[in-house]
Amino acid sequence: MKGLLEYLVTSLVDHPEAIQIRETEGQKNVAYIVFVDQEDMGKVIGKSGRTANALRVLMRAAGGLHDKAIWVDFNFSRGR
Amino acid sequence: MTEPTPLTEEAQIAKDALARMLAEMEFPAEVDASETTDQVLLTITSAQPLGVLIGKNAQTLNAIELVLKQIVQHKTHSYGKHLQVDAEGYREDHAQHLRELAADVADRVRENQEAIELEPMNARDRRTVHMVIQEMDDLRTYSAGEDPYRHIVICLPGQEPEGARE
Repeated sequence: MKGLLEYLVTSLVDHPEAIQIRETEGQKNVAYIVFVDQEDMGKVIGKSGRTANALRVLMRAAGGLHDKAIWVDFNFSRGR
Repeated sequence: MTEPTPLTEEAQIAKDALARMLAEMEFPAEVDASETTDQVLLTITSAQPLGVLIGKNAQTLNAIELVLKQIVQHKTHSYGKHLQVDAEGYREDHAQHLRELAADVADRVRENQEAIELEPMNARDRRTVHMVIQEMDDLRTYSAGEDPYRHIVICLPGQEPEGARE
């Protein structure tokens, strides 16, 4: 599932090298915090959060296949 | 069999990205692509039921479509063609349902000589309804309200508000 998130975010940003994904896994749930370059925040959030929401919906669907509740949030990494 | 027409760059990118998404989800499925001058259509087929990829009110299918569009735009640096993703014929079934609904409401508008507001719909569904009513010479449609409550009103000629957008 982390692979899916990594693939999607990498395909959307200008600075893929800046991507970091923090994964916290529980028994029935997984939380991801995706860090991207500050310049790429707009790309992963989208207009009115549309892209971020679509990514969450996709990750939830993927999680459903593995009986996991998925939580995803986005933030920017400082410094390069 | 005739030689299939090669896909344009954007269609190929979209098809590959969707196949990769499904592979990352460990979902065994095939992706077929076809395209016209203004649309790329991707169809997911699988031996497994595809409900999980469609989601409630096509929520998941729409999310897949939106993310794919962003990926294609990012890779080609252009807006490109309409992109539609379908699974188990959901899009066509849903459009057919909307066309039937539009025809029923049209009959009621004629009968009562009064405009009727439909439930809020997304842009794609509104377009489907607009197109059905456009073929009827005696009725008009316009959209009112703002997303996510934007909806269609079916009315008689002359009942549209001033400057209403089609």
